[in-house]
Amino acid sequence: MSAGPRKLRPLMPTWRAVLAIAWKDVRAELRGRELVSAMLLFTLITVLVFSLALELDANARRDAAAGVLWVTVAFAGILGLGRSLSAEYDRGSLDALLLAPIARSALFFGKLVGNLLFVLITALLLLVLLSVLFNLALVQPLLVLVVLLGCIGFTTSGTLIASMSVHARAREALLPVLLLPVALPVLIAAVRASGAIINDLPSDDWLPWLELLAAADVLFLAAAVALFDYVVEE
Amino acid sequence: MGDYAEYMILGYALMGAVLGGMVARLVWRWRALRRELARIEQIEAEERGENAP
Amino acid sequence: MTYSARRTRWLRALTAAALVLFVLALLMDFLYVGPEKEQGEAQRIFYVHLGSFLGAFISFGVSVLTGVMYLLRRDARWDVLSLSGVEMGLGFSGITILTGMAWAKPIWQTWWTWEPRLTSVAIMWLAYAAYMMLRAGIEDPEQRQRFAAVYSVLAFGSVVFTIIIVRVRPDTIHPVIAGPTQADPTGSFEVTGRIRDTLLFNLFVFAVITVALLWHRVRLENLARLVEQRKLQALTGHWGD
Repeated sequence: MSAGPRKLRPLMPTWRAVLAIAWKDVRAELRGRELVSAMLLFTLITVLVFSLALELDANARRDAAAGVLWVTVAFAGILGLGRSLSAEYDRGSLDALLLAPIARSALFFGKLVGNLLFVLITALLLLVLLSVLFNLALVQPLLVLVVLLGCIGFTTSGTLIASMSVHARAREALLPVLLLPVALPVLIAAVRASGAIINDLPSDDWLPWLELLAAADVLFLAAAVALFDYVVEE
Repeated sequence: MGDYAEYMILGYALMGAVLGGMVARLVWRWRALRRELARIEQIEAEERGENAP
Repeated sequence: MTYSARRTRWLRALTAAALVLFVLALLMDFLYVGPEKEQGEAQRIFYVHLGSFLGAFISFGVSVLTGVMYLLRRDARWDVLSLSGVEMGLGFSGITILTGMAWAKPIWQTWWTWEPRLTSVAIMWLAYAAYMMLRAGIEDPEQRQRFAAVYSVLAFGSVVFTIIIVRVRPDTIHPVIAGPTQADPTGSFEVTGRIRDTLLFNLFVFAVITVALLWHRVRLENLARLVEQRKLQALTGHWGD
């Protein structure tokens, strides 16, 4: 018999709960939820529309690439985030997850890791796609770093806001309206950093944006962890 | 009238319009709610009268 | 809903004071301070431009502080104050944007330009417009208040972004009044003498107007919620028990 007050502790270590939830999403995806394939197809169509609408020459392509990259990531991300959270909501599986003996923050990070994985796959394939279609060398370490940081900030705020917007009427319309103003500082920093890197500008032109991006990521993660408890409580 | 007076007037007119709009909306909504409250009270009073023995 | 007579007297006094002060501020803007030598009459816009931004800042500040208080205490009165802050802040920042455009046309030769500070203030306005959409979209009152409080914290990020952006990106052409900057803004002028007096007085007056309007908005919201409650009672046929 253990003496003293017994604290209600999560049965599973947090990191394992996080991985379990993320793995659940990946398995659902592999079984044919078709979230990533929808995002990828959307990405492909968007890039085609952009190149048709803009009719770009080589210089214009170089200047437009960063904008096309992040606009496409943002909208494909909204598509994926909305589906990912509303799938949980519609099946009622979010309530089941809330009953599970795990910390709320583990639930948030689990959904975040899953969503981030999907958005990152889309964004990296988009880099390859743009490299081919726009004839630019976009797959370079620095740009991949910017994509990673940008996706972290976007997906963190997106996962938090999508868990609210699923409860609303017209949730598909509400998610971009709620998410874009909040995520725009991250998107602006990401666009500016990517644009400077694509144009081979000196580090003075992209390092401040990269720092802003990293700072915004840290702030968003902290805010999301602090606020998620209030979003999911019932 | 000095330089750019027309833009100065435009700026102040816009400020006046928005500020006035904010106040007007407050007043208008307040009156509408008061009317609604009075109607509810009237209906309640009538029903009480009917239900009375 | 009954308010103490004393508080109502205070509100009336504050409202009257706000009105008188507003007239005084206008007189000062037009008569006490002369036209600026380069920007002429258009420079007078600056006093209400900055004043209304202070009003927006106070309102949004109130909304985020009370939003956090709501999350901690779960008292609907905090939510009323938070909602009032957002609504008044939208109005005041709308004034800031519109007066800024009227000033920019003669000085920058354009109504609008996509430079950091203008972009970030537009984002700020959109974030709070989205707050109103979120409130309208959630049916359950408790959930609506909770989500709104969470979103008020997120939206305040855009206010902070608006204030720090000219420090991160000194290439803005927007004049900066307070604090150091390496920027080379277009349309700057010395804030000294009568210009400074007028600016400080306008800031004070807009702060008073903001508090008075917030107070009235809170009373309106309380009345609205009372009417809502009474309507529900009348519909379900339960009263007085």
